[in-house]
Amino acid sequence: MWRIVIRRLLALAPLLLAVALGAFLLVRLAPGDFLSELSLNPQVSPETVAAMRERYGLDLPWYEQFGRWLSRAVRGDLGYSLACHCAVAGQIAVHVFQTTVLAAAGLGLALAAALPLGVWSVWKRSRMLDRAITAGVSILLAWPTFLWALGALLLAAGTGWFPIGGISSIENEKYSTAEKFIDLLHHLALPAAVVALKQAPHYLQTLRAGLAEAMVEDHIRAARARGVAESRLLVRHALRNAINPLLTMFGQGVGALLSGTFIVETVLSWPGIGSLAVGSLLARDLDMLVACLLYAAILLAMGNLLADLMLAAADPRIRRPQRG
Amino acid sequence: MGRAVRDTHWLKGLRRAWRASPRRLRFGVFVLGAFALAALAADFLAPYDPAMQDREHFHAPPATLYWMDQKGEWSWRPYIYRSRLEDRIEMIYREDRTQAFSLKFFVAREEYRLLGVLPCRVKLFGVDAPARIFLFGSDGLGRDVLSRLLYGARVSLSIAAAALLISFPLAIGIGSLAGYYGGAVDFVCMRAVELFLALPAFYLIIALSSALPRDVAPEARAASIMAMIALFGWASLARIVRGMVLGLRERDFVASARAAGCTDWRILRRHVWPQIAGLMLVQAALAAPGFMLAEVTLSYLGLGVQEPLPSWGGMLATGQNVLALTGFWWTLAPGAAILFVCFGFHMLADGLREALDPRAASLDWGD
Repeated sequence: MWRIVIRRLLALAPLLLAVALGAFLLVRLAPGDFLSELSLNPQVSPETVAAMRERYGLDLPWYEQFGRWLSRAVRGDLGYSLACHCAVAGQIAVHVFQTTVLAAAGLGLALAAALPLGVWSVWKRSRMLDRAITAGVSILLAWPTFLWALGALLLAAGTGWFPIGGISSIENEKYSTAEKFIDLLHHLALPAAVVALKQAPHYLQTLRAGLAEAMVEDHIRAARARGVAESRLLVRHALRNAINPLLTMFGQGVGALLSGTFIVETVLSWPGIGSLAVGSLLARDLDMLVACLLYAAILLAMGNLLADLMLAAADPRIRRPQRG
Repeated sequence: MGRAVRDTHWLKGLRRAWRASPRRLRFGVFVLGAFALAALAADFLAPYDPAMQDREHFHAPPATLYWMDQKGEWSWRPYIYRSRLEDRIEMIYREDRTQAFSLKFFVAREEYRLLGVLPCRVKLFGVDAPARIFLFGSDGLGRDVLSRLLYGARVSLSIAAAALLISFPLAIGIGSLAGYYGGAVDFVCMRAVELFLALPAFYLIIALSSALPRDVAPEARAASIMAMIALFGWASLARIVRGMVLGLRERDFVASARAAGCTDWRILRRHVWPQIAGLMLVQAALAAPGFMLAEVTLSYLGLGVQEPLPSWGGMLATGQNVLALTGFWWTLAPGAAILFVCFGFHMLADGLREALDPRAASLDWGD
């Protein structure tokens, strides 16, 4: 298993280099940079702008800029953000964490809804319930995240039950730790629900199909003949087999999860890496944007790796792969 | 489907297939067909120019159609009252009840070219001059939401369709190459696929869109947005195609075709692709909403299609203003349109899948 991890991490290095170079070139190709916007400000003298341009190396050709950036990046210094006047690395770390929180909360919520519902619906064996779930899943699958996010915004703005965007209230500083946590949950509720709404139907569908398939297998029939209770049969025996396709599903869905959080972040202004990327793009904040793209690639790779590792942990056949 | 009706005329066969097809498929075709038609005939259906601004009618609510006149008698044709902006700060519109303007069909307007060719001066409906009809309300610049919705359908749907038409042949080509030839070709193709799947598509698309020059025509920008979406859409499908071609390559009918001296191109074209065509259609229908939504999200963020070209995402961008979101709910009309199109594609994909393999369509509990 460790060999998989190491090999994946090694394969990540050229990918990240390619992403960094690509992002760098793209941002260079784009017309204007942060300082050209700044030079429109009448209160900033052209000399100041020229001095800043020289100081941050923005007057150098792109390959020299990239070389400088790369040599600093491998030492953990991702540059300086001209838009927020802070080091990029710290900003990125905070936003990556917040995106991870959103993705994890969405996933957790989706599983918390899909697992019990899936098991229960298979246990009930009611045609009505099946129809209702199939129809519900079908509707949820077709419903785009973007519209859920817009709907959530409408809900928050219309009812005032939830805060409109952001991650903390204005008085957050004064709160005690417990209050801060509740405040975070309050802000997290809608974004996480939107992420979950896109993931849950996939899980529910896969889980139900997996359970239905597992329930007619011979070992289940044998267990049933031994007198194992139906509920135990479902949860202890069938669910174990059904969890594999679910994990595969999760693996395939990591990319979708990341694009889902991107949409949620930008529409509901959750301060994650997606909204940071859009913000720094609009501000022409070069270092920040490159770092955002880089970390988005890292997040995606980590998610894929995590999915593979979970699959390996759940299925011994994958843990010891046959060569060939 | 096609084989059983080979001897009859193809239209008859098509009709029979249509009748036998699942209801969901027909629903999907109807919905998408309706949207496609509406987009094509936007010139005829839309009462106004999508870019026409009206300082007297910004954020006007949807017009109320009256069917009964003030004496309580049924009117033989619906009419509206002119609405006037009463309070510019509170945005209150009041209807001027003194004069009714009846809704007229097939009204004459300035000449345009229907579908780009037919010279035509008739619009589907309208009202007489001083009044304006905003069936779906108007936006913050006083532009008719319905007209923008119709013209925006052109932009948003054609971007999705064009992206699909580029990325699918690409996916089928690359996937087939990899699956059919194997070896080094396969290795190179699959590494490319993995590279594209390992990239966070949305992030790169926004970075790419920022690299586009700002001063190009909106149409050129829309085309480049489309190309970018297509660029990131092919990879996952290419992998599916490769898997299927890999399996088909070993089948006897391919071996016999090869033994008969068919070229690789002919084998792919006549023996392999017909086998995967159905599933490809399903995949296309499944992927299409994603292509559309990519454009919608980009335009919503202001990075996609630019004004004055109307697009659904661009129209929804007013929703970024929370006050506009709750106060002027009718500007969210494109959201409903997006939803319909997504459902249409979903039903189409589902119905196609069922038509291709009726057994796999429903969950079978085995008892």
